[in-house]
Amino acid sequence: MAASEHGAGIAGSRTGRPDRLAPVRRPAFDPLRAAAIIAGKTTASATRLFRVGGGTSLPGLVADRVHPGLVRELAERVAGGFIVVTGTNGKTTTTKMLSGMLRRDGTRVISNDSGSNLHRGISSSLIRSADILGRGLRGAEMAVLEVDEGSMPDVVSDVRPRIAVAMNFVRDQLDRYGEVDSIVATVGEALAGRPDMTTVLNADDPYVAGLGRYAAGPVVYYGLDDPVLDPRPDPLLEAMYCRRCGHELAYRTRYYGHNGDWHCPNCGLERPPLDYAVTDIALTPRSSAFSLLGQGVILRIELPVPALYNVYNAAAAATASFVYGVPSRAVAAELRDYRAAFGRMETLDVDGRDVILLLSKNPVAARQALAAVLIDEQPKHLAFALNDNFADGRDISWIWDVDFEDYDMARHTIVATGTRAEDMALRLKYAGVPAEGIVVERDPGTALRELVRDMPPGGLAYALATYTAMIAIRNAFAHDGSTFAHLGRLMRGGNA
Amino acid sequence: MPERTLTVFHLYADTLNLYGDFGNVQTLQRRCEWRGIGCRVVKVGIAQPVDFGECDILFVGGGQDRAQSLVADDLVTHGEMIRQRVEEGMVSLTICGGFQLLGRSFLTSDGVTLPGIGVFAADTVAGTGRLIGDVVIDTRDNPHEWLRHGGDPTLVGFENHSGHTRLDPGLEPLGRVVCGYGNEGDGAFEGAVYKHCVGTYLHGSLLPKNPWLADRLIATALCERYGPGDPLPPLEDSLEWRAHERAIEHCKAS
Repeated sequence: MAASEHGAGIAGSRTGRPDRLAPVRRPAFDPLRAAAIIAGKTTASATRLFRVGGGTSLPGLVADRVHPGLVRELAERVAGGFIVVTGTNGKTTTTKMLSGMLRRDGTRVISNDSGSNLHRGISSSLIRSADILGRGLRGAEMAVLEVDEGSMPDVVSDVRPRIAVAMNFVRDQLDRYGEVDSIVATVGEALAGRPDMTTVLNADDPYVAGLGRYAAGPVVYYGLDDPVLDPRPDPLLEAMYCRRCGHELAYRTRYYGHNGDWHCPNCGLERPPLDYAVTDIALTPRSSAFSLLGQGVILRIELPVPALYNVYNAAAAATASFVYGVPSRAVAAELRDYRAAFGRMETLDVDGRDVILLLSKNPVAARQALAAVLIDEQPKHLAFALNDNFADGRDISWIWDVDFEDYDMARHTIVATGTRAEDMALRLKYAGVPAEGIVVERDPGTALRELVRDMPPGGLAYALATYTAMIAIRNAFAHDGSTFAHLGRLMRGGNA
Repeated sequence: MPERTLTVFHLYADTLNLYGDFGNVQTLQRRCEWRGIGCRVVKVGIAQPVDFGECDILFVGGGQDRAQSLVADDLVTHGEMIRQRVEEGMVSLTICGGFQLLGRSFLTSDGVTLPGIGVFAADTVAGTGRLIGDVVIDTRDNPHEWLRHGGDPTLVGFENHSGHTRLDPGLEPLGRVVCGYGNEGDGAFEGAVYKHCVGTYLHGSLLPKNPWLADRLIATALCERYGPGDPLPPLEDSLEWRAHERAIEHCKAS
């Protein structure tokens, strides 16, 4: 296999630890820039006050009008630079893990939240965090941003990251972006022409691995290397094809979804060699453990959250940390103490019962969530919350690609909720749940109360929800203030 | 062993499998099973030799552009057989990419013309934007008797296509657009029907919340295979119709 097929490779070209503490040139006071920042901040306060769109995208728009290029100037003042994280699934978790690793190493990091991972939202977040003189971000040495795939070209052009991480591309919100191939091309465009940026790629996802050929700078690949692990993956949602010759790809080992040790039986293109490899994986219903090898690193990692996709998230975060120069003890310590991010296996109190909330926004995420919840044969209480707002994807037909048929769904107590509760219920009926046994209730709060009604206090139920349904549920039951307060804390760089 | 069994060919199930096509096949299968009718689903892959004489219902779904160009050449090899079976009365449901490939041709956004098999006298040209959203169509003016069922003649679904499909005069559309874009993005007509072959852009999935169409496909296929018989026994469909009503309400509100 030609090395050039996978990009420049990293031998001898690794950026290593950047000189994060180099003195930053103090900019002269620029009244227009200050005006733009004040305008942006004022807009942010006003929109938050009136709850217009959560105050996320308007400040960026306003500030940009007053002083175009403001975000780029701000970004230049951030001494430690930026790391951007993109991909369909796992952005929020990986961003949270990565920020935590950097903080453990004593770096002051800010980060955005998944509600503001589009271009305008990111601009707004940065302006809210800027000091008024435009000298940089208040109290932060560097920033880790999760970036929606479609916003990658604009965000990369604005903040000129040191490191870009791409994790996986699966069918999600095709109504917004068209097809996976066009998403890959969009992210590829963002990686091209940036020789000073290191690109961290999941080699196990053929779409992501293919990005290596776009990258102008060094490329670092991570992936799983555990042929004895038997994850018994679901059937592929759709066949994968070789980007070079068009032949159907084959897998030596497939871990989940289309992630695995892939190769093309026709032309010989194969998964790129791993710079960081995850091996010796042990999965339990509550946790995972694995070894991470590469670049002088040998680490055993204990992760207190289950599921193989979280192993991938941890591997992405750890690889980016190593590329940035974070020592391995900080990486291992952060993962050992990791707590689930917003809506990612978070537990809510619903009338004295625990409800575990799992984000299930596309077939791959939903299949993984189902597999994690239905790991044993016990009858369970399950809520399925399906919204079709813009942020969820307007097209709900993906629920028919979730493999409910592989489980005996009829044994569980089931509530269908959300803006498309009826469609959700219908899906479960055709998966073998008697229709009369499914509670259909559009309001998620009412639906969850109904779900736990016959459960003993302290009992455990599960809610699988699309993005806006998850926010609605959290707003209904969060007891530590509103979601906005929660997002605000994340924005300021505190722990969730 | 059921007395009567239908065979559904799911063409290119592994390649053209976007937007919950499984839901359509699953609906045909369940609604047969619930009535004691056998239903055998055969997944047909690229370059797989098959006998379309066995096929009672042909289903072809949608795919990404790359997948569509992969199957187009293979489909042409089955073209003559499929056209002959359609003429004989074989029931077919083709959605999105499948609908386009059963037309004469598809001019992609790259300027490449993919060959179709010409079951439908129609040509598709990729447009500049994508036509995306909820859609409701009304089939009451469709002249095909076999589609009549005496109830609500609407179909609901979700469309997401860049192709604009123009039907020749004389080829009947499936229905008139109530809300949504339709074949040419102008909100006029949607889909096509030739003999017992339906083409449409509606996924969502289509059949689960349009149970009447699923039943017309099943009843017509039974009649073709076993000759005229009793009407299908009705099923308890209140959830199906609630989802149908909800989709109409949703489409009109957006």
